[in-house]
Amino acid sequence: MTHDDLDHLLESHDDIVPSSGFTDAVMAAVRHEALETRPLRFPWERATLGPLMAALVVVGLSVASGFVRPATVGSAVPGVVETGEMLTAIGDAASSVRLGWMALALLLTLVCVGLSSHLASRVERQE
Amino acid sequence: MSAAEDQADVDRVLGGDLSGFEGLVRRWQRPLVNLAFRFCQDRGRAEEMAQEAFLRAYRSLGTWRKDAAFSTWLFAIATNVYCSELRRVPPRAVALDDIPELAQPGAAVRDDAYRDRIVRRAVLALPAKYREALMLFYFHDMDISAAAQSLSLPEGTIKARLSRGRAILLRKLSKLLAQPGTKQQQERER
Repeated sequence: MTHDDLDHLLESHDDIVPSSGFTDAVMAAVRHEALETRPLRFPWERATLGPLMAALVVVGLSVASGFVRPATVGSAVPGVVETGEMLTAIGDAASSVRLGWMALALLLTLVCVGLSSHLASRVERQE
Repeated sequence: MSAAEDQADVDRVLGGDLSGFEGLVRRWQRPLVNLAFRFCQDRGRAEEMAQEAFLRAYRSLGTWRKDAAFSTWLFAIATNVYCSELRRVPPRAVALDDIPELAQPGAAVRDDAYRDRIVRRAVLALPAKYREALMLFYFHDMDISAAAQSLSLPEGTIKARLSRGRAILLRKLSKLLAQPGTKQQQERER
């Protein structure tokens, strides 16, 4: 037996025709895949809650520190205070609510979210 | 099969029109199912593997760099799927030495179909790296470059594996094919 004989034997191969439903089955699987991987709609309702709450907190802090107050007689524009005074007031308010702890809590939250996302993507890749 | 059609269909899919993928499936289903069939010799499993290959292609359609032909890219994905799948669940194959017809010199070769079956079994029983190289080489009409691209291996590696795989097959099959009287041999002798 020669290489040519072997080539001849291995070259000849029955050509099979895919079953009639093959294309439909593939397309059904692809559509399913497309639905599963369709990007989620951005949750504007939830996302706007964050900035809204932040604004409320800022207003609350401002009120608590007496930042907003009626215009004084000596002020050039009614209702507006000096920038330095404003920053000092915000700093005082921040220290009174323990900003360091809040920052730590936020940092821990970010670490938790990052870790869980990483683990979830690893499981997805393994599947 | 037109490269322009492939390109247009891919663009449609990437643009959000899934029906473009149907064109790709219709054009490439036959080669992909046939390649899978060569790997597993099981029609049902071949279609399952080909479907998985198409799904994998769909998922990574955006990674196709248009400097290579779509078919080259698709065959590389399909080959990767088939090799992984067969390593995970090997086809039903017996070791070459355990094929009775090959173990007994002089065993009768009944007909061409029977002989072809023996050859397929012998190929399936080869170690995976030789089997894959041989299958891709003959599937691509003995084009080493195409086989190398499908397997994502250098051509030199493919040549070495082909040489070794063919040597094993020749040694084992020569016992069987030395038998005179098959229709194919008679036709060639005429």
